[in-house]
Amino acid sequence: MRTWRPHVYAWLLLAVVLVLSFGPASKAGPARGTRLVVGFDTDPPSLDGHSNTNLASDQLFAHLYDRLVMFDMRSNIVPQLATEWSVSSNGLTWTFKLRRNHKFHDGTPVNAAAVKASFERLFDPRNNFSRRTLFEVIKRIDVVDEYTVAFSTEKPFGAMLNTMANPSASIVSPTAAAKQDVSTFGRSPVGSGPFFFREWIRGTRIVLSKNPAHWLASQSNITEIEYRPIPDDATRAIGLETGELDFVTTIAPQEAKRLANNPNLVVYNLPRSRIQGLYPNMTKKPWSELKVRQAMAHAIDKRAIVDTFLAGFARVADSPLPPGVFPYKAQAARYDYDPERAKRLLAEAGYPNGFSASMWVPIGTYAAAQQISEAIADMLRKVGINLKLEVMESGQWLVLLRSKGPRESTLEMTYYGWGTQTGEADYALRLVFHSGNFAPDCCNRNFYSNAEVDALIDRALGATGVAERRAAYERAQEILWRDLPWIWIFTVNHSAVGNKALTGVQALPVELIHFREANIAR
Amino acid sequence: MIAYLSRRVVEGALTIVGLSLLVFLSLHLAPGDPASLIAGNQAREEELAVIRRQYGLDDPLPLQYWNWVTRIVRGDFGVSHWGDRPVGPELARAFPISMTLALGGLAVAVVLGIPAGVLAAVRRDGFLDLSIMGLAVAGMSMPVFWISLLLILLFALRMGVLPSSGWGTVSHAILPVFSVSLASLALLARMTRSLMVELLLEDFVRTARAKGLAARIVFYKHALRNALPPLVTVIGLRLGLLVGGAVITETVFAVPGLGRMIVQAVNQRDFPIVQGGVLLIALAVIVINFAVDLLYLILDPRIRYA
Repeated sequence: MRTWRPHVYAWLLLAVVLVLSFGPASKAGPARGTRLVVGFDTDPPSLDGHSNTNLASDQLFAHLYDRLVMFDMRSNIVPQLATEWSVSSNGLTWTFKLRRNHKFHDGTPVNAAAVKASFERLFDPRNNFSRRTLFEVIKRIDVVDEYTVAFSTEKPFGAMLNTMANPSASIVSPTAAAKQDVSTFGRSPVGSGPFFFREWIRGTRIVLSKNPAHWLASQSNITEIEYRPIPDDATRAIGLETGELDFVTTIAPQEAKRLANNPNLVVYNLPRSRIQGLYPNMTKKPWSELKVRQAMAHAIDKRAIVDTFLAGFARVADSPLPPGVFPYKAQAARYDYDPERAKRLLAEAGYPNGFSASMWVPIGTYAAAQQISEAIADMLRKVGINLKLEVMESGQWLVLLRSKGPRESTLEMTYYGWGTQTGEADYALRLVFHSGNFAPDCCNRNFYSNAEVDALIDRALGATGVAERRAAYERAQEILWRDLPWIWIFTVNHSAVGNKALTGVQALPVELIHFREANIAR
Repeated sequence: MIAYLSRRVVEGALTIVGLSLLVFLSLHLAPGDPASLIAGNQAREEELAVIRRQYGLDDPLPLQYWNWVTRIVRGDFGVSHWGDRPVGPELARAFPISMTLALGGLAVAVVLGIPAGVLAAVRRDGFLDLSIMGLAVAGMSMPVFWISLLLILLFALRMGVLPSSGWGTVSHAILPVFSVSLASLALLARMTRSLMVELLLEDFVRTARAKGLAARIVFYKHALRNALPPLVTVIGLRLGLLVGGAVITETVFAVPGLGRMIVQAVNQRDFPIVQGGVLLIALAVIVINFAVDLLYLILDPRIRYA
């Protein structure tokens, strides 16, 4: 029998693989010069600067478009298209002076008329931009002269500048927008930002090219940015290690911690204006008892949660506002981890043997929600509170949470969070704590109601002076911290990782990371 | 035979109709509100109302179904709730990618798995048989997610010879295709081995060897040929399975295929994409099954005259 040995080839192949895999590890990837490759998690729905419903879009808008004003790393308002601004003495008119000789990517000049047309497109009800509600106090836009534009509001609007720094206040080219309808503009956007749109292959890449006529052109040497959607965290991390990616905007905290040891990479662990905690229904017993909420606040070891599940990419909450939201003030009163005190408070509230309740846990909305909730349930069990966790998919959870008013809501308690993209307290407090915003209309979904807080929020909204707003919001923070409508646990940090050769990355608290002034040294 | 074939066509059409109803109902009746997800956690009720009006989400269900069906038969797959992109071109872009993964994976499985099974059968109970079957069991039991990451760590990070993710060139396709092929490869190896073990004991094999025919010709042309009908059936079924989109592989390797697109759309309650995508896959599976039936008729003459 002539022998037949195909298996010899298999052994040979195996030997080659073994030798190669135990040999020296490969060095960093191909040289790309000034081309930046960024990994993020999933494609945005649209690149239309007025559409904004998504953190992924925000990133791209910051490069494609300019806004009148913008935030810096400390959430201060800084000039962008507008070089100076003022508000009238009655607080009803805001006037912005624009920088001169700037153009959109299609050559249209950026002037007051263009700014007016851009905003009118955002406000037009036929375009169905859901974000226009942020700007509804604006009643009229006037072109004062070629480079001066004025916005008139029906009531004084203290949050005007922060709202103008919002991603959906991006200025789009009116000529380009007029030529296309809303759905196609989102696939071939035209703005005036430091990068223009080159191509979008969904699921594969979005490519932006440098706009050499931009005023920031000389401050950044980046010629092209390619955004790659990579849904899996581990794959994104490996992409950084192989050198295929220069930056990853979100990565699981544990991966970021591991990558910190890599000599070619730098970790960005900076505050974000997002706060997480427990959200009890204030109209239902036992949550309506203040002492019960205080007991819970003392029963949770917040430091342990931050260290165990977030690998240091978070900060124990010490105010209802996260740092980076004006005017955050660390509160003097503390809710330290003290299980004995928690038990005493529960007894005083009439629950000496604790009680049972259920808590909703959404999957897919917040990082590590299930593990954190399980740890919290464990901590609360030690003081007698037995929580049954109802884990549910985020779509289902959202409907349950937002669609019912105080009488029909089935909420007992949920794990919850809130991010403030405007960097100021109006968005963080009014939508969430004002009694005029009960679900289903908006976002006070646990039905907290305090007339003094309402009055302070209203006063601050209508005040245009910084000192007056600061005073009102600081007092509101104190009252909220005392009332505990949330059991606040931690504020979230950015967990982004980039190539060491990349400098000048701006990781803002308003949940945005951009490369407008970045440089890469390769 | 004509009667047989036409009956199969009618069955296929009825399946598609039933499936369209099933997908539509399960999406619309599932908890979760698309408008809520599109507008986001921090949007107000008025914004949701705008979105619902825009996409006809507050029409009665039968009307929504009717609108969708009448458009689909004209080839209009509608518009995605996320960014208003037309669904047809999106599916047309993603489907070939998933088909490439499926066909490529299956090809690798056939080219590697069947000879491995033959080898194991020929060297039955030897070291080679045990190791091949051991690897096959491992290949079927190891989670795709884990194996994919291992492949990336080995070939992209350690050796630096292949890209870690993405799609577009041949080197991008190598690891995902291999990862997709593994389960089928293992299955085919095991099936081939058991079929061959039986066949090798048959008299006609001994006769062929006794005549002096080379081993390779006896094993493949004479013995394996008889194993083809069940193997082809399994291959066809696996293809149907793979066409459904190897979601995990597509996610880990960031391949922009149909499976990943549909799963993301389900999470986002993007009805037009889910409905159109599932229908497309169902159509593909029905066509593949039909083709397998035809192939069966060709391969096994006994059925033709039944």
